Amino acid sequence: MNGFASGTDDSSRDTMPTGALPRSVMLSACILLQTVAPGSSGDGTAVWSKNPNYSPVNETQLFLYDTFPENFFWGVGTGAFQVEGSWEAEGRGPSIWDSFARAHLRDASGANSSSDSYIFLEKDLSALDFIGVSFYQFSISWPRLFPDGIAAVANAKGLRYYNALLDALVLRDIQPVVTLYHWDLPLALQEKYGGWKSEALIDIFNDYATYCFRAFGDRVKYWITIHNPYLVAWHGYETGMHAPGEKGNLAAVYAVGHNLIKAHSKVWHNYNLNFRPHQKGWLSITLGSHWIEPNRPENTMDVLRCQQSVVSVLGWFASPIHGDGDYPELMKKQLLSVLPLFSEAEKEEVRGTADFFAFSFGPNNFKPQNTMAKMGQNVSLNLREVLNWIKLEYGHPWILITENGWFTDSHVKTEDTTAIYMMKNFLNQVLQAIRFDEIRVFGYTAWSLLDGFEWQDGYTTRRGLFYVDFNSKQKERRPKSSAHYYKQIIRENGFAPKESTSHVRGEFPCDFSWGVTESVLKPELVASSPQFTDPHLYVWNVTGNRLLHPVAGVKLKTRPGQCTDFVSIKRQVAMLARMKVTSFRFALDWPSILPTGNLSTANRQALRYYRCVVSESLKLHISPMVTLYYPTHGHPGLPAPLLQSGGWLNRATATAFRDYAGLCFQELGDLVKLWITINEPNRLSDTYNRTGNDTYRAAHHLLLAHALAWRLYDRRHRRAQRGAVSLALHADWAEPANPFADSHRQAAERFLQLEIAWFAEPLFKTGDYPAAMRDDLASRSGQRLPRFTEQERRLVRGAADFLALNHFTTRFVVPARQGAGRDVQFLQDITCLSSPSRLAVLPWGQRKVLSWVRSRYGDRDVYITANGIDDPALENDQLRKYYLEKYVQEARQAYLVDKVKIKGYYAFKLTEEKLKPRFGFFTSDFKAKSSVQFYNKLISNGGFPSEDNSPRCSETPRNTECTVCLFLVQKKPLIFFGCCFFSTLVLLLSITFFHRRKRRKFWKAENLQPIPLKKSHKKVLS
Amino acid sequence: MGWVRAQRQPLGWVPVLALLLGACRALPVPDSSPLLQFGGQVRQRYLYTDDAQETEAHLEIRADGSVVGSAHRSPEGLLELKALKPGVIQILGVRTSRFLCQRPDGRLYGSLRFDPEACSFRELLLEDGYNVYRSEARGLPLRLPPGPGDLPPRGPARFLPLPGLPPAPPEPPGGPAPGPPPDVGSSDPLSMLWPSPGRSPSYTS
Repeated sequence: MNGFASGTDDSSRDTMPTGALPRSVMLSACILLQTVAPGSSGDGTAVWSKNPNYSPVNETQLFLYDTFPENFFWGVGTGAFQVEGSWEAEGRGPSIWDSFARAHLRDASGANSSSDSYIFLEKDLSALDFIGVSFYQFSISWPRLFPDGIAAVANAKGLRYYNALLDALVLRDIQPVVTLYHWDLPLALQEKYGGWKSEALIDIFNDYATYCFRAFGDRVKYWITIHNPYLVAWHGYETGMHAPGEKGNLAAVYAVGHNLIKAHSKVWHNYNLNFRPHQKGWLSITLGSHWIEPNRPENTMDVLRCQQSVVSVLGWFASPIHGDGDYPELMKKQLLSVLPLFSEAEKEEVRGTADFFAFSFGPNNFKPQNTMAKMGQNVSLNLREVLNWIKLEYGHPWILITENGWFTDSHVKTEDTTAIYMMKNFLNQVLQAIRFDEIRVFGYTAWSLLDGFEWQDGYTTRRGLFYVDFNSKQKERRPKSSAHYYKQIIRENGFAPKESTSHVRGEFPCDFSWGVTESVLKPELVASSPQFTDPHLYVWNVTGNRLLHPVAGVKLKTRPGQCTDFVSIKRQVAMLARMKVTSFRFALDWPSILPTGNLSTANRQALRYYRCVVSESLKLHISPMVTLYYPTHGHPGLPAPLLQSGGWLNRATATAFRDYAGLCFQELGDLVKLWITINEPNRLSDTYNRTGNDTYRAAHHLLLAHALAWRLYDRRHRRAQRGAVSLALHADWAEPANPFADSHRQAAERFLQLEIAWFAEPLFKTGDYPAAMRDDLASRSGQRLPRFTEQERRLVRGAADFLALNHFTTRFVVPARQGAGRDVQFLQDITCLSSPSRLAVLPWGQRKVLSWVRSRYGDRDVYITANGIDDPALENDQLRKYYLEKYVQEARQAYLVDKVKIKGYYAFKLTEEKLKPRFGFFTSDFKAKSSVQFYNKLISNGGFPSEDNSPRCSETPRNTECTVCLFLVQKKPLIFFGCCFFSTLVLLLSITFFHRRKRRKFWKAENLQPIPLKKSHKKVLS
Repeated sequence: MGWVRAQRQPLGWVPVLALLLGACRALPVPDSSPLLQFGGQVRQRYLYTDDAQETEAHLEIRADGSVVGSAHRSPEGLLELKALKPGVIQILGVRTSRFLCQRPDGRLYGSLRFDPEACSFRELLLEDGYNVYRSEARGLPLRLPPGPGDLPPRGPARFLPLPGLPPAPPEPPGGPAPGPPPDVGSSDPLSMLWPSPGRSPSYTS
């Protein structure tokens, strides 16, 4: 939404509330401004037009750590009928909801089930104190003041209650925001006049309002006339879900709406004329809306349907009051005669009768789905977009959010974890709207203070920040997690950064392994160039039949097998060269090397292929890290006979693995210095999950298989090969989803036990499973972890040379409800940037997991053997770049600040497969994405993404030692040619030189001996 | 005098030598093997035929294993031709990862498994640039089925291997991919709660 037309004047910021000014002064300033920038109907469609420059990692899209404007108005709200209780006591008259609930809602009536705010006023006040709000929005119960609805003599007890409440609020410096009508119409008015269908109600309501202004106006600065008139009209007269429960009377629906608008405008004029001069307050009407998004954003018809959907709900009331004084054109066209008409005088009367835009965005406008005017489009909970729509349609008004929040199911008590994240999401959208879209929101009402009567849902849902046990006598208000959370937000006036952002400068050392991970490489079993292996000589097309004929009797010498025979290696190596990594992690395919699982049938060709992969990468100074066993969901990765005999549930598989590992050490160990025996054995449980016991038995054998392989390496190969062997664990971090609940902290710890300690504890510490895990499993599900014998314990303990962690994301953990199958659940923080496969980008989790591992398993070498994210983009993969930058940064912090001995970082992964999550740096047809270059830069700067750093480690010692050798190797043909050229030149020169010398000699000789020659000649002649 | 001239002459060669060396450095020696004239040992080609009078067709291996001719180039029509031994090739559909194979009666199908007997073809080069492919084991020519149910096929047998790059997959449009609409009837409308942590990225590949 960074693409919204921002027709805002900069002065709007200047009029934002400042500490020194009282709020009312602030508001009067802004109302003047409001008239400056009129919006017009239809402008709101711009909200749905897609921004072509959209980027998922743009700061206007990401969760915003920032504060709300100074003096932002924080509040909570309640509706009188929902929480007051004492419906038939203390002189209160019946309302339409009393009779409706009795008739239509089975469990809701009769019982004393309510929060009894009328009795426990003090408890409400201490709940308000707990949260620390700046205002409290409540409604006055019309029938409690005037039992028959006519404002004559007020019920003294009711009057006393509201006076006490207001006095207490003023004492606490909590601003009251008072709603006059929150749906509890005195039943007498319904019976006598037919309720809001009658125009008579307009004057009766005005009298009631006048009384309230007189009685309470000295203490109330913010008045709301009516709460969500749309629901009153629509559910009261069309769906019959609200009192008075009339159904299908469309004419009544719009007549009621018409009267509500006129009643409001009458009250506003009344207040404006008679009370504002001395009471100096502000008055508006709460309008509610759903939100909707087009099925196809590029389709203008769909966008128009969305506009129509919002206009017919929010526009119905907002257009007359906040807009041009009349119903929206789209509604008039559609409803024709059903919609009442405003005369010109009425338009003038209605227009502009609100001092600010009071907006409600909650579940009630979304329920029930089948009666919503969706126009075939998709509903949405994007509060930021609605606020933008309001801004564009109604000329940039000041907005007070008078209701927002979601509900929880009635069984949820004080741990309302989802409510926290809904609130976080909504509030951050409000903050984004204020900061990026310059929308003038000056206050926010969390709905609601207390659990209570939820209209058509009765008591099956809860919306309070405080939990109330309706069956209890004392109706104690117990703060839920969301109350703690809201309190924290109010205290910080927004969202303070969770993790410190002060970063220490410094780089990874030059010998750091910068790698890339690849899954199993399938070996090419046939060389791709038979030309080099076929000894025959052929002639083509001798007889004109266009066939190759072998020439009999001629056998050529074939070239010995070379690594270039395998085409896939060439491609592989070319990609690695582009990555500029120093290390390459890939996995062998066990079934290809040992098709029967038996050493006697080893496939030499497969081994040769892998040796070629290793030796070719080494030529580019890319050292290999080889994984022996890399199971996936599609391929269990075991030789068929082993799979048939039970796979990892069979102890013999562990011994077979040792033999296989021994073969690989023997064949490749001279070149490979880093070995991973098994990739993510802690996630193999996803495959062996028929019963819990199977999971733990398979894991037990995996652990033994690894230990056997490690011991073998230690005994036979370590001295000669000097490598290191470990196993790679899936190591996502777990964070309690609900920071205010102990049970969540315990669940997170339990998750880490199962994720990491399960394998790390036996290997790096005790030689046995974590005791806590053993007890926990036994007590929860009666499952038993296998026992190690004393011999096995000695075998396993210490059987790893380093810690290898595959870290992808951080999980928010929720303890599952009692009786649910698994003991933990997971929560996706919707405010957090995440990938299509729901991996959240939470870089600090990596640092936390590294510290956790260090604190438990000591100061060991650590390799991050896989770290990456799926990004749907095929070329410009911004999400991956962002992820890499942030995660490498956290790894660097862990290295420099927490002193975790990180030796290597392997980005996941080199290529991706078709139709799978897009994790690759290269597409499935080997095209490089832009993250390749980005990773290059990270590597050459030692982990810094900055541009200015010149490459630091490009001249590694190994290279400087032998620049000449490298040059010689690379320029072989040139040097050969040069030598030939030079020797020819020398030869030519020497020939010339000798020729000259010879001639000179001859010439000299000629000069020196003319006389004797002549003489002799003469002599001879003579 | 003659000495001087003789000595100056080799010095004059030095800049020329440097120039030549410099030129050599700038121009790398290309991959000049005559065996690589097809641009690599593995070729990606469309097999095009216009033999059957008016029809023009590209051989296509579909995901269900059927083999058809299609008028336009499509991702399914891109084939990977790879030599098995002299004159003999295997043909692999790039999109579907199925090998082109022939039944004993000459019908074609795409197979996920490479069967050397059914899926090896001998490539015959004709003088007009077209090729004919015969099953290595049975000698039957590779013919495109002209219509469904034509047994055994009598379609065109002469193919022109046209070089082709795989068609670029469409880049997702700007903006986030619209997720499923929220379930507004639920207390968790944005489906935040999940029973399992999901698959490990390592296990999906």
